[in-house]
Amino acid sequence: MEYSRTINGKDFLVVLEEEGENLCRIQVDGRQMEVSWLEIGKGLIFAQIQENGLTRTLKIHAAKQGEAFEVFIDGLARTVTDTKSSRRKAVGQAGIQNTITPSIPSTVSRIAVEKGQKVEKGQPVIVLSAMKMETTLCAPYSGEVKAVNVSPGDRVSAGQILVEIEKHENP
Amino acid sequence: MFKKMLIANRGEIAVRIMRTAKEMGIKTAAIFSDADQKALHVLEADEAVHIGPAEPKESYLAIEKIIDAAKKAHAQAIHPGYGFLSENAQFAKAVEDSGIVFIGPPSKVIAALGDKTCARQMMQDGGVPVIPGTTTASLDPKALAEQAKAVGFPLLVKAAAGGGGKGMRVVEQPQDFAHACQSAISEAAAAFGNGAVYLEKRLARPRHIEIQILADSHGNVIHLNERECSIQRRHQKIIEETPSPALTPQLREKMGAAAIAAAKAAGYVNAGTVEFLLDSDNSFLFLEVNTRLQVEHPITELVTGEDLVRRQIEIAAGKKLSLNQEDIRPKGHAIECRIYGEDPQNGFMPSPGRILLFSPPQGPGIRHDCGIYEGFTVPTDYDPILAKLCVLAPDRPQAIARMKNALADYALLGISTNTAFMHAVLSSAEFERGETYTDFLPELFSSWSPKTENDALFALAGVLAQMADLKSPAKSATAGKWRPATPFETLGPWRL
Repeated sequence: MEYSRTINGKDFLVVLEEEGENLCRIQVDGRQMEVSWLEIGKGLIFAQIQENGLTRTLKIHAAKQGEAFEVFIDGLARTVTDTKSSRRKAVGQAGIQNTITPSIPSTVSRIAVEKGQKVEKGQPVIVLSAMKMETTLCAPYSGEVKAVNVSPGDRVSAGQILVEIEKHENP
Repeated sequence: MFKKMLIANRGEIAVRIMRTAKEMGIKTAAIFSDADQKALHVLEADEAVHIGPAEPKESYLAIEKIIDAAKKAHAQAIHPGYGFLSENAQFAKAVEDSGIVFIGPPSKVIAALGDKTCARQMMQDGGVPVIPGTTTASLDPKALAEQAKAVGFPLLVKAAAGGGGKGMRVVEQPQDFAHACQSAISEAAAAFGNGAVYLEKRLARPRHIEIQILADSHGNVIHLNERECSIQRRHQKIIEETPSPALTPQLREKMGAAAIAAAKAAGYVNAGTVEFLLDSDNSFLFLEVNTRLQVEHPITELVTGEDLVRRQIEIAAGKKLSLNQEDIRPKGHAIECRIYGEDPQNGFMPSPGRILLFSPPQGPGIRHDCGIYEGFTVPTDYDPILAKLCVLAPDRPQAIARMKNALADYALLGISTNTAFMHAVLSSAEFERGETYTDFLPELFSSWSPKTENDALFALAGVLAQMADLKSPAKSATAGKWRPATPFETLGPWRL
């Protein structure tokens, strides 16, 4: 079996050959290992990995988040997605990065630009307040403000386009 | 002693206060907003009173509603926790006037010390050295800009009613002043209901060191040594420790004496904290008095063996302190890491949402003050602090090692937290050497990102998790080949 997985934009091909109950040979990232594992209750897996003649144990916490799995090993949490579904999302996210939008629900504190104004890349555009902290969203590129879609005090949701900026052709 | 008290707060601190109340045989009443119906502090309380919508102004900051709730619950005392109304003199006054005991200093003392400019004046008069700056607060950006020229850059814009780093901005150059000033004023107005700010000179490389004090209503004041709180991000402390690696016994005694002098100058009663900046030449300058229980109080409790909340309740009930200064003999080294629901990889944006899995560390010398549980949805409306992880060990190197292990074991999935970031901070050579200054994080960790060298194992783990998920739970428990590794198999260097 082959599994394509993506972590933080990087793809990994996991080739898995079952050899028995909870026992398999695995190839990943140019590494060969023999892995046996034990699930202790929901979300906790102990995996024993034999690689280059050495054995070690990984304590894995995992939880399903939609189509992806969130995985915690040794102090670090990672989202492991199926590469196919993460490709679909990446296209959407690339679109969001070029827009002025909050990543979580927020309240508009102040707006630093007006319609028609020219802005430089990195210039503060709008100040939001979420969880009692103020965050400034800056212009992702130089251009002209085409529309300001919100007013101070407005509650806005994640992904909502707050200010529209038309990119200059020759930056 | 009180029969019942109301906790006018939420999250981990409300849960922590209830723990002591239960030990003392005092019944507890919680308050909650629409966003907190299933919050841990509501579930842990003996009873809970709904006080309004999620918006703090309509609930956790609504003085009348909270006092009504206390009356409804027949509570004889109110503990304000930290944040929210804890340092609001109007609230303390309203509680006093209602005939309920406020667990904290008298409202007059809170008012005097809570106005940071007034406190600076008071300390100056009492002979305590203060940081150069203005002694009046203002809402007028133009007047402030004029004052800024006199104070000089770099400087700090600080909320007169402030605390906890809210409504505070560093301004390096004159051209950044207007934006920073506006931003501080509106953040202060939102957080404290008072947007007035003042200016303070910014010291080059100070440490933030605070002294815990206890004062009873019979004139006895003692201190419980220092906490070093220099590891700050955007003026919010994230890692604290005691004792400070910077203090000699002589300096500790001098700062302790100054803190007691400050408390006496203010007529202080109850638990409080006198904050100082320690300059590179070992001179210390008064910063402010926090007239409440501090977030980081557990590390003082760990090294002294005292329960500060119990002391607060006893003092509020009029009891005399049963401790002398000589009784305070701290032992060992304690560190606290604040667990925030935020994403260090994404500019530390708050990361609210549902907690899918939660398995905090356990073991000797570990204390976990927690306001969340697996399945809980962290709301977007409040400060993103989820819990506090503290350790106690015989000395500083052992405490660091214990905390690093505990952070590596802090399994939380569903939302992002700062645990890996704090692990990296504790692992740095600078932290190990005790070179902690308030600019530590911006200087050394401004472009931190988690290591990716084990991502292949995460990919593999993700596949195993999916396979386990597809199996029936009964079957997965009876795994075939799993057996412990023998010492022979684990010999030699690993590639992790």
